[in-house]
Amino acid sequence: MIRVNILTPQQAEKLGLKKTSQNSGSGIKAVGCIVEGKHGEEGKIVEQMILRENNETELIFMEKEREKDLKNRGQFSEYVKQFKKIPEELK
Amino acid sequence: MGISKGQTPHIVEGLYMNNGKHHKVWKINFNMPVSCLWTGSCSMTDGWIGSYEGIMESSSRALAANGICPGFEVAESIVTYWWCVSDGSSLNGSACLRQCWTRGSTVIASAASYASISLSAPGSGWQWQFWQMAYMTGADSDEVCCDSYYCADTRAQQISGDDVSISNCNLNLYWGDVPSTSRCSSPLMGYIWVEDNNLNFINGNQWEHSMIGECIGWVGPSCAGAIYIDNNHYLNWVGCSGNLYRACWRLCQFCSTFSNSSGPNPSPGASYAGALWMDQEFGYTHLAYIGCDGNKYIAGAGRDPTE
Repeated sequence: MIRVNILTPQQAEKLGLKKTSQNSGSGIKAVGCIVEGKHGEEGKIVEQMILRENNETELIFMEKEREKDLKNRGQFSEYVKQFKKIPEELK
Repeated sequence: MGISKGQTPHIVEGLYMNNGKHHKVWKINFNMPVSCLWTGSCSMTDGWIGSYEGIMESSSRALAANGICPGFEVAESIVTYWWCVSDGSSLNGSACLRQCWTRGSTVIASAASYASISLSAPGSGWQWQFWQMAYMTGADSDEVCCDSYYCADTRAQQISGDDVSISNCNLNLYWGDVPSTSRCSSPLMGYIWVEDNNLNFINGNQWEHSMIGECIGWVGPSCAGAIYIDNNHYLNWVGCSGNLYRACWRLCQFCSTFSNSSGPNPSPGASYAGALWMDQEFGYTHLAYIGCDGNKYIAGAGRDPTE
């Protein structure tokens, strides 16, 4: 047992304790995914995205084939513009 | 030749996924860490959603009477949009998928996503695509703040190409006995105290929350008000009667799979063990502290977000 030492949020920040959250996996208001499939096959995820509480959208995942398809149709740039953050490999 | 499309919307307390995960919303603290719900592959008939927990549409709920207080999530709008082509048909178009919550005629939350649909079926057989979107709403001054009809509106609006639009669907329900969302004065933020047998605090949204613990023993009233972190990293406190209580849940802060930049969870180190503060991050509704192992933990008054 350890007796607690109550800090203000400012003291916690000054001590570097708040960095542990990295703001990852948190503050999510909405989530979404796209699935594609063909006759005789299982469905597969081709995209995942989230909306954070600050209204920023993030594209989490895009399958290579979908990326290629959007690029072939000239829609890729316009499509990813809607997201505040996209995976490094799509930049 | 055939083309079909449609949507399946619901308002729910949570979801049980086919991959064994439970995504809950009802009575959890605002915006808790979320693990990845959609993993692996799925079948066309089942998708990932195994079953819906507590379908609410076309009903009424008394929120405060059911333990909802400001800072708690109330419900989730979940929708599956789908398009399917068969026997040589194709479908190429784009649409804006919209999902919003309204209170009467007021939009309280909305999300939109651009959908590019490109399907082409062989002579015999079919191809399909579906989108699933989930959007939470909770007891807050901007969201569920008064007794009213609430509505989840979902639709796919045509942008270009073949007609891939899906007409809107409105699911309505009535929420009454909505708790007051008025806030305490800001100097009280972060105050923590033991009241009767509960651990009370003023959270980052300036609402008073009350953690109800599990009684695990008796240490005597001379220790009343003491707050500890045990070796299993749970918050403990001594109630006014001298009973020792343990928080019902704690969660080691993790970097969820819903991130393209998450690294390993950094630990500030055991030298900070015992530090406790009202966190002003994501949701502003939880206490944060450093456990004996040096990791950051969170705990709050809402339901266990991981159970």
